[in-house]
Amino acid sequence: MMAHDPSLSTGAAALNALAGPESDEFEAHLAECVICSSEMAGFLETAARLGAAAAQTPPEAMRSAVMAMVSVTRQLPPEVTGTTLELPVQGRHHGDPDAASEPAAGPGAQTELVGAKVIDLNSRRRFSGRLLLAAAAVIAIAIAAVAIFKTPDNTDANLALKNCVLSAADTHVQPATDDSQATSNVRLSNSCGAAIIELSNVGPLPADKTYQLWIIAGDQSRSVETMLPDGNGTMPVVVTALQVGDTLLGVTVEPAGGSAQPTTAPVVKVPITA
Amino acid sequence: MELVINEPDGSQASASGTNTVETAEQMMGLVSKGDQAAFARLYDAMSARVFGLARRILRDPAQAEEVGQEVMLEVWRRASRFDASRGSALSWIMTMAHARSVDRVRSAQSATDRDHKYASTTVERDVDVVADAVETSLERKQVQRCLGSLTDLQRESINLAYYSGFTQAEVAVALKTPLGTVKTRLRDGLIRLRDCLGVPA
Repeated sequence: MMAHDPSLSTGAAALNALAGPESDEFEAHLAECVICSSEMAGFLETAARLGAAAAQTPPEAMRSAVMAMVSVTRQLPPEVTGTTLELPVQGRHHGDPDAASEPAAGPGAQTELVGAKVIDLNSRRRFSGRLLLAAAAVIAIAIAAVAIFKTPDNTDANLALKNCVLSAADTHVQPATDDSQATSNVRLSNSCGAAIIELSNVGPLPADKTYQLWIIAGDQSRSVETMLPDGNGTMPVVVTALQVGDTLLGVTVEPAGGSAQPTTAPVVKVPITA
Repeated sequence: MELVINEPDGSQASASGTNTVETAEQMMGLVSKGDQAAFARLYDAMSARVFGLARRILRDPAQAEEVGQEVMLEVWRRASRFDASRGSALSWIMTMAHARSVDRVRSAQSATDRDHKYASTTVERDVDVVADAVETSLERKQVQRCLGSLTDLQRESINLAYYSGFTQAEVAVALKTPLGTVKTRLRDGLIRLRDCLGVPA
């Protein structure tokens, strides 16, 4: 008579309804019970359908925040099976909180617990959504700033910023001033903290000159990059992070190679407003 | 820093050339290789489910949003660990969403919050939510229909465990039913639900 058969716990386990010791016991049992594993997989699929049935449209800000964080979050490398070092694993509900959130999906999933924690997501839990977004934006800006000076292939961060601007609810076109000597299409999103800058109908330059894009905050200027128009007077598209307090995007003509600070008046000015 | 945008919509950047509908598993495959455009598509396919489940369990929209962010970021971070031979992407993601939400519930609740009285009122609330859920989505209708095919005890046990994040011991107290019975009802309820939903056994 099996008064206490762990095999009967598959239902509770799939619904995440086992507490600490029961959960440990079941996981140990699962490792050697093939029928249980297969039943669990079907139950987890079933539970997922229950979850999906509760779908609700999330706030727009969630998307921008996730995209911004993704751009600065390293992915775990694939697991190398067979050679991974087994570490002692704490119980799911009283040990490592990251492990507690581990998908129990699939037999043998517990090996997923092995591996580096690149970012302790748990520590972020205490932040409010807005703080999280702000923190992510600051990190994104820091990364973008590094990219400006080191110019590595940092296109991932840029792609995320671009996607964020393209999809954010608060993205708007920021017009250039009337005296600007170019056609501009500047799309700016405050929630992403970023802008996509497209300039065309730009005049040709002598070989010893270059255009340089600046972000101006009051009387401070930060160089974004130097750029040259193609034969049709179209500039390369630039994605850049912005910070709170930035007031203007400006393009000046500088000696080839660029300048540390603007040396001429901007030929294109795009005020940054909320 | 330069980035030339050829396509009007970044999400097209790495879509496969075919016209077939991209599955979540295919998206996961691309995401595991660092494809952020694929991740954006996966987000659009999954975020409402993740957020909705977190909202259902936690009730508080702000907390649900935080969990939604955490889970979607975990999907990105752990994409290489997803193995389609073990289960669907939906199952993998929703398991994470449920675990994260329940973690919050359990860590926030002191033992005194979980007394019998609290459990009883929650049962009533939860039943109301199920009854009030007016949704046209086929997915939801099918789940509602299948939940309706369960016995009351099966359905209440599953609702409390899954949507309220109760442990089976808490479910037993809330329903004034022996633990062994709850354990069995969770399992046979899920078997019936699985077969009703057409999930392969």
